[in-house]
Amino acid sequence: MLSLRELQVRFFQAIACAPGRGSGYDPLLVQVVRAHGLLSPQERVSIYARAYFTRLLAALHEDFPRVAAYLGWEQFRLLVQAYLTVHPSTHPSVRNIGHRFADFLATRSEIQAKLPFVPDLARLEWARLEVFDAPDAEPLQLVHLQRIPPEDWPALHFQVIPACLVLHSAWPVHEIWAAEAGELRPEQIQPRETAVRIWRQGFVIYHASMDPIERQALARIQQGEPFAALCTALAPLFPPADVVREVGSLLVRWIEDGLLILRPDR
Amino acid sequence: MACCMPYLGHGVGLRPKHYPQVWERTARADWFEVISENFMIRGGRPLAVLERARAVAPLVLHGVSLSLGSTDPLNEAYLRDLKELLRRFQPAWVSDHLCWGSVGGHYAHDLLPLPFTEEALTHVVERVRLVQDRLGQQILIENVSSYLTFVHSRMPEWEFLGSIAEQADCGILLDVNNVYVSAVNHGFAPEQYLRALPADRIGQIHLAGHSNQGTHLLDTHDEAVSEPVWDLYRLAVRLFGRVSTLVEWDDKIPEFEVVRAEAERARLIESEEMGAAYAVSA
Repeated sequence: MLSLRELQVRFFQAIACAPGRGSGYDPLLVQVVRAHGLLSPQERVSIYARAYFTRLLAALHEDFPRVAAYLGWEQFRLLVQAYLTVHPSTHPSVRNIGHRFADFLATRSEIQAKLPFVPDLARLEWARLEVFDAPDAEPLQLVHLQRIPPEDWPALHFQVIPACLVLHSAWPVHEIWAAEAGELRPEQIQPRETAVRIWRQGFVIYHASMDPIERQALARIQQGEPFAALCTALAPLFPPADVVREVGSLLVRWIEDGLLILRPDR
Repeated sequence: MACCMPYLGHGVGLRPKHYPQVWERTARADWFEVISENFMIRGGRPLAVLERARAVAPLVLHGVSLSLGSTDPLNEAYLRDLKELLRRFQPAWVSDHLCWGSVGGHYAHDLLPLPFTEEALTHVVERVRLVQDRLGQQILIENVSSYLTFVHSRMPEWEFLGSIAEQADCGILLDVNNVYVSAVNHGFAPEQYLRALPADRIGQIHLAGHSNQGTHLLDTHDEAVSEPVWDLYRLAVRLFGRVSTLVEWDDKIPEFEVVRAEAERARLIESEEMGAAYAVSA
């Protein structure tokens, strides 16, 4: 008779070895399943195999709806089968089931050949999920800035809220994300270097593309540079008379988007 | 020591579809139960909603991934996260399932059946004790729906469940729908199951819908509680008295008021049965 450990190893193997393609046949496992009623022992094991795949397919579809739309349901389902075969869940929460899906898609030759933008679309969808339940923060308000004495500004250290991520892509991934199903045909989608910030304001998730200046400025904030260093770095990019106004308008935009906090030592 | 969970009345399982109503404070129920794992996160709307739910009604945490029957070591990170939730939200109690869901570090995200053997019993008792020690409180364990049983089981499920509760000194979350589903799938009398349970261990009751697949019943939680399950609930009230009862609805979830109406039906049945009991005792 199987030990509890052996039973569990065999059971899991039977339901998870070929996701979406029925259960694996394990004669030793089937022997210990009681035969009665309308179902054979193997059919009873298959109920669990079907539930395993159905549940995880639904979870991944919920996490990657636009990827699924571009792939089409059948190809999405086949890729999920392959993904779960290679990457069964290793976390107690099904929330994390898709954390390697984008990287997995990038390894697939059929994706690279026909839909090369899809892995980055998956990264965007996953980033939105990461931001959804990232740690809370009390974002800086414009009124807070007005209270800061001018002499303190050069040494100010802004930080980006935890619920903000930056995604770099070779594709206009935000436009691909925004397109209605069927609106963009894959052959119409051309590569274009893109940086997108993804953030949560209140409980709402947003993303927006960034021009090279904003991209560089936000990176410097994320690296912990003080305000004076940020201005110095950006100065060559603007006419001298416009530097303060341009940096100021960047700050205002970020603050209105709820992106910034002041470093706690302030 | 028996299970001494407070009586909370008739609650509703809180799911994301109903978060807006909780946020607007228009979702009313005697108490809410939530899936623990959905709140093992760092921030955002779910935790804010849970704070608000807790402010208007008692809260219970119900886990699906503790994997009490697994032969893997207990997941310490999971226990830490659960303990943090207990500290932050102070639920009336916490529960999980009498099953396993992970092995070799891989999670099935399902409630997989155990053989009802001495080996499994000893194993689960030890794990429940460990969890209770770690959390510093008694937990409830829930019977699951199952679609197969094992030839080497040496006792019926009700004896397995009752023995674990007694030996580990934990409570029982009696899922009446699961009893019914398993009874049909395995050909036993559900009433026998209920009558065999230690009444002083029943800390909570679950009600939910299931679907008929022709060859078997599936615990889908996607429709109203079925009439045979209501009948079984009536028997449970007769046997166990007033027990905190909760309606679960996890798929094809209707408006909050529809779920709440199910909880109200449970209240009515309890009231009828308890009224009858009072009339008899008077």
